[in-house]
Amino acid sequence: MTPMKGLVIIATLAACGGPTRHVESTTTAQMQGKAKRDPVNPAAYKDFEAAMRAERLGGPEANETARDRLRAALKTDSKIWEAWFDLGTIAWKEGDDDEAVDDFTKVLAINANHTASLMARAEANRRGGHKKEARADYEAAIKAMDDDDPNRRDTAAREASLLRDNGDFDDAVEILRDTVRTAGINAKIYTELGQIYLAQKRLELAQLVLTKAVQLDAKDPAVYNALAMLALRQGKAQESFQLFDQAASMDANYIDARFNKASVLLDAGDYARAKVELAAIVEKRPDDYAAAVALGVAHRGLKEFPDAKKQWERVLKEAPKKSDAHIDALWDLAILKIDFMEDQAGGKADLERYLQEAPSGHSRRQDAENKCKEVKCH
Amino acid sequence: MIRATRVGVPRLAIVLALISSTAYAQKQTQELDVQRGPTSELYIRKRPPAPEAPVLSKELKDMLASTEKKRDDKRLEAIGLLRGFLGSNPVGEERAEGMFKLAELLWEESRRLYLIKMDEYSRLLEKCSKQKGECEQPKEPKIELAEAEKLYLELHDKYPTFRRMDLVTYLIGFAAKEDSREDEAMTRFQEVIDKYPQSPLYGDSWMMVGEHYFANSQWDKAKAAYTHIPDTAATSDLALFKIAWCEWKLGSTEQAAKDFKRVLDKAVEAERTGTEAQRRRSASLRDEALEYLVVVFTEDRSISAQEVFDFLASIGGEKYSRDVLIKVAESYGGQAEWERSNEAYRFLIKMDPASIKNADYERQIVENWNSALDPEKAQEEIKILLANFGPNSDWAKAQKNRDALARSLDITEELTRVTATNLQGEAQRREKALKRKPLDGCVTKPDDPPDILALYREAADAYGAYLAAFGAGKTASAKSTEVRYHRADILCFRLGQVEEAGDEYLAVGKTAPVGEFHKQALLNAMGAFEAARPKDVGKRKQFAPVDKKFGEAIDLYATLFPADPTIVGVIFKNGVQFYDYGEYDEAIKRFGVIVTKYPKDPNAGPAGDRILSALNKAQDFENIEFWARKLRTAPSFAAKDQQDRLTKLIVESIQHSGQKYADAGKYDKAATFYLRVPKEPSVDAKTAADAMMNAGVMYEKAKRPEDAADVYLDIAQNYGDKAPDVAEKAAFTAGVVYEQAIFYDRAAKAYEIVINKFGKGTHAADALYNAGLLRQALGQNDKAIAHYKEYAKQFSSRKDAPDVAFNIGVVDEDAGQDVPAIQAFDDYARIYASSNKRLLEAHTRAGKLLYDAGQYKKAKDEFDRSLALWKKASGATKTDGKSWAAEARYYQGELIFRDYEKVSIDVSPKQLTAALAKKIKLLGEAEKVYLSIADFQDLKWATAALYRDGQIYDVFGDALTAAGAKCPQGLPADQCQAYEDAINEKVVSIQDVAVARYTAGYQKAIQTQNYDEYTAKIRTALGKLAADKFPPEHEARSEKRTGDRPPTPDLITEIAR
Repeated sequence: MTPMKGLVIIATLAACGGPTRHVESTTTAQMQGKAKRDPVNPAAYKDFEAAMRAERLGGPEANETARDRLRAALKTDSKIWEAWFDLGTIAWKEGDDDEAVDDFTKVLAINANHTASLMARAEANRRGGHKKEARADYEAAIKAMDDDDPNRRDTAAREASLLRDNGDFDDAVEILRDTVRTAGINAKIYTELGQIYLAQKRLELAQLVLTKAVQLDAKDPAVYNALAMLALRQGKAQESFQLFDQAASMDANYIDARFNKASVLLDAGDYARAKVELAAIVEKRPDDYAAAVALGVAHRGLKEFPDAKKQWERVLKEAPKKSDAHIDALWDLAILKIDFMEDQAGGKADLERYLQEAPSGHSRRQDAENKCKEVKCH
Repeated sequence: MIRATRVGVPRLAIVLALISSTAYAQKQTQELDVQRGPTSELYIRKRPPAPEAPVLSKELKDMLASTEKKRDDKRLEAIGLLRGFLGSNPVGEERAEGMFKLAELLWEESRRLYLIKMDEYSRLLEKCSKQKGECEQPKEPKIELAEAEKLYLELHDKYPTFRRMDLVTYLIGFAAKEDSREDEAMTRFQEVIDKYPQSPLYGDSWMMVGEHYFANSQWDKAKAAYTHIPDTAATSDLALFKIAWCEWKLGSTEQAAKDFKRVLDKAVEAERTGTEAQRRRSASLRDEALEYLVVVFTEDRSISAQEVFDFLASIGGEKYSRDVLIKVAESYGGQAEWERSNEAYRFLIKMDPASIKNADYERQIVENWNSALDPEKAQEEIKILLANFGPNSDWAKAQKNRDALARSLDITEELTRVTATNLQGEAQRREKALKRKPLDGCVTKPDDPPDILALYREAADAYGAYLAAFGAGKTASAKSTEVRYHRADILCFRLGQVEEAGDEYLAVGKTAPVGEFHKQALLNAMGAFEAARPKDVGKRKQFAPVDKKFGEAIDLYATLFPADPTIVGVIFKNGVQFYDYGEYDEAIKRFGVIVTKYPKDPNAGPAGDRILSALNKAQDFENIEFWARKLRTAPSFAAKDQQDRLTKLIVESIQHSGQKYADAGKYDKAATFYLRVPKEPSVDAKTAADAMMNAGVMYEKAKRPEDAADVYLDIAQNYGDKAPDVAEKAAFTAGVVYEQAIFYDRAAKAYEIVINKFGKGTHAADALYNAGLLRQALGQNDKAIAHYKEYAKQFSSRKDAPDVAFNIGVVDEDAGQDVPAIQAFDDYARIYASSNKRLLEAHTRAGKLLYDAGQYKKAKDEFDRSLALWKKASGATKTDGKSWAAEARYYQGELIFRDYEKVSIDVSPKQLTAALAKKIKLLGEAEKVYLSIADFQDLKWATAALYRDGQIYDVFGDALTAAGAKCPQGLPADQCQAYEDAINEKVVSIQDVAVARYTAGYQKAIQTQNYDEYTAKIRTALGKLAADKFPPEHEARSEKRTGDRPPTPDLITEIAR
């Protein structure tokens, strides 16, 4: 089936939906608490400003400098919740979820019901594996929001996605229903619903709701990303690629779609195009270590072994130790050295390290064990 | 002497012992004697009894009487014994002691007898005072001290050195004074003063001297004598009082006041620290001092209260100012000096504005004016009393002792009321004298004489003031209703203030509980309001506020006295009046009273008609509903047509109310109104269904979609027969609502209700389509196909019917039901052959399904038809069908390739050449077909063809390799290897071709960005055949992303405070 035929289906399904109001989401800054508080100590304020200056200037030491100054600010005036928030944000970006949770908790102790902090703590808890706490934070954030707060639906969608990840599909759908009742429907709700149905392998239902999502917001790239995922599941790789491409072209900052597009390119062996996409992602988001790993694969496909090695080594150095990207890079580096760079010793060392660090369910575990026998690991 | 002494001693001892025992009961008296002597007792007898004298119980009285009897008996016995002792002629000190004791006992006995005689004397006096006519006044008894005095004189003369000669001399003087021998008495007292300055009787002696001169108005001498009395003396306070008195008598008023103040100081001190007796005496003395102080002040009438206060303040007597000023005010009042008395009271109020006593002072001022027979000033003061010390005053709010406040307010209430009542009473008394006819209604113009009218006005004002304070709320008095009624009477019958009178009567009617005044008050109120209403000018009817009051009085009367039918006519008339004015709510109230309270009255029917008429014009829908419901049970509306009218009115009212709440954004409440409509008896089905439909819409707006859908389904269920249009629309809307609320199964069911119950309805086609779509989405393919089939059948003329029919095949195909799918595509191609739409697709899909099912000939036919159609096609049909034609062409190649694969080269060497030739021929044919696919310019099938092209060689190479590995039967062993080598050489060249074809395909796919499964297959094949050039991917990398990555929190860059 050609892409055109897929789009025909979308158009056909679109006939039974109805448009609802679309509300633009607000920024974190707009959601800051409005409670009247004591004035800030001038010295602390100065430190806070210095931290922000460091972040604006950027560079490898930016976070460390900002963190030091924020801590200094808090030592002078422990009630600057904005400093705690920024510390949490930096910790979250660096993958230190426990630290992020602690920092956001301190914000909430000063500025109770600060929805941005509740949402951020939910994400940190979620990534840290504390799903129960994450759900509680999502619900607290939803409770603190007005019915017509545009973030309400997005937060509900996030909570639903948490439950989806956990396999609690019914609860996830119920949360979305509750949100639809009070805040109405939007494309994000339908998209999340589509993801739930995809996870349940109810592809026709996913098709239905994603079509509705397109009807509500034809410019939301996330909808096309989801449709692409659906196409993949339906075995329509080309259609999937085109949808990923469409999503990525709609929003250059929509990294996930771009990554997915690159992933399809890698699947097809179009390393050159994959490299372009992935290099763009890594440049934009150096902390997207999964993209960096994939970029290494593109380099290797193009026989640019030193570049591949460089990417994977950076991931090993910077990515959180328990992250999938870190483990993937370890394996990739091992076989690069063994199979392509004639560095048997280095490869073996990486292989052994992989076997120590990789979880039992990692996709390449069995291959690694076989390879180990082949190269005679210790 | 010795004997006598010896005898005498025991005898004296016996006497002393007796005295001692006798004296036990008199011990306190004896001690007092030592300090002051019996004279003090005698002196005190002349003074008024202390007010705080204790009241003894009967048991104590009996005990006291018994003790006194024993004491008196002992005294008499001792007197006898002492007389006997003295009769034995003792000498010296023994005789002196014996005489002293006997004299003392005789004095005591005389005093006892005197008291008895005084008691008898008092009785006789009282008896005489009660006798009518002449009564011989009894003679006042005198104390008989002669015997005692004789003994004291002998003692004085014969034993001048006796140890208590000061007392003996004093008592001789006292006895002389009692016997009116003033000079002798003064001599004796002067002797004590001169000879015994250290005696405790020194002060008493001066007192006796002072009293002597005081009694003779010799104020200088008296003052001089009193001045000698030391401050430590028990009588010093009395002396001070007397000094003050003397000063006053001598004209030294200021000094007198100062001295009185000193008396008060001492009295206060004594009251604080003294014994009970001292306190009693001091209190009495203080009162007396105050009285005299007031006399001092009031003697000069030019002295103001302020001056009294200032004077007292100047001498440090500010603390007595209140008591003094009270007495000053009372004193002036007693002298009819009203202004002065009031001035003093006002000053007292000013002294302490928060004092609870102030109300009393202000009342005293009112009382003064009442006593002065000046009602106007009394009323003025009453106004001040109520304003400043009334129940609503700041003063009242500030009082902490609420009990005291309540008592004070009770007194004020009574004073205010009685004063006002007296005014009215006086007016009535004067009016009675005029002997006029009683009135039977309010007057509009007063016709009493001016003096009487003025009195009535004052009374009305007085009542008004009273009612303002005690007429309503928490401070309302029990008498307020009566007072208000009286005031209303004055306003109505005397002053001609008819509307105000009506207000007061109505207010009486509104009070609770209902009492003796209510009925007449409400009747009078109606009369007053009627008299008060302005007359309509010409035909122009104008509503006046008084009309509303009139109606209120009627309502209340009808409520309180429903058994009185005489009122109905009045109510009806009033209702008509409101109606004519366009005041429909008010009119309805009147007519409603008649219909509900007097349903059997002849006016009830017309009243009901008027209500309905008014309701039609009014816009207060909930009120309309309320009254319409009331009328339902009225006998005058029992007829069916009337009941129907009411039902219609109720239903319309409910709907209007629902609309009102909807407009106000109260959707939940609006829904509850609409849902009430179907419950109304005999409401028609269409109206009921419409109302429920509105309820559903309201629930949708109230964000209760499930409730909305439930209501819609109820409509569909209950009104399908009677209101099918609404019911069908409701069922369809339920489906839409469920779908929006993400309940797809319920939505499908709702659409199916539309299909099943309203198959011929306007929404049937859409419902069928939606039901099919949702069932398909839910994976319920049988149901989906059934719906699509039904749609295609029922609505074949619709524009989308072919697509739906085509979709049957797609659903079947997706469900793995190949045979029905083939049938569906065939049916489609047959039925819609003339449409020329999607026919290529139908044939290609059918062919593919047949191919998969192993029906190659039929499959070939379908592919041929598809390609034939494409060849003939043009325009959009050709363009749209390109991909399907390419797929058909590809499968034509597959059919040849299938034949090619069937040719085995696992044959004997002899047959091998032929087999290879056949295989190569077929290979060429297939390759030709595959290469022709490029003509269709369809990337997918072009890539597939390129893959297949390479794969042919790849598979051929594999087959050759397998064949080469198997040495042909009969071939010598040494030739086997040569055979295999030759084959392998061929294989290498074939694989090279395969790699070249794959590479070309792969490059083409990459170039055209075709990334479907055939590109992946080519890449995999190249990884196998040319791993060094196209190494397979063994790396690990992450899966595709769902796109719901967590939102990254942004740094907060500013601190906002």
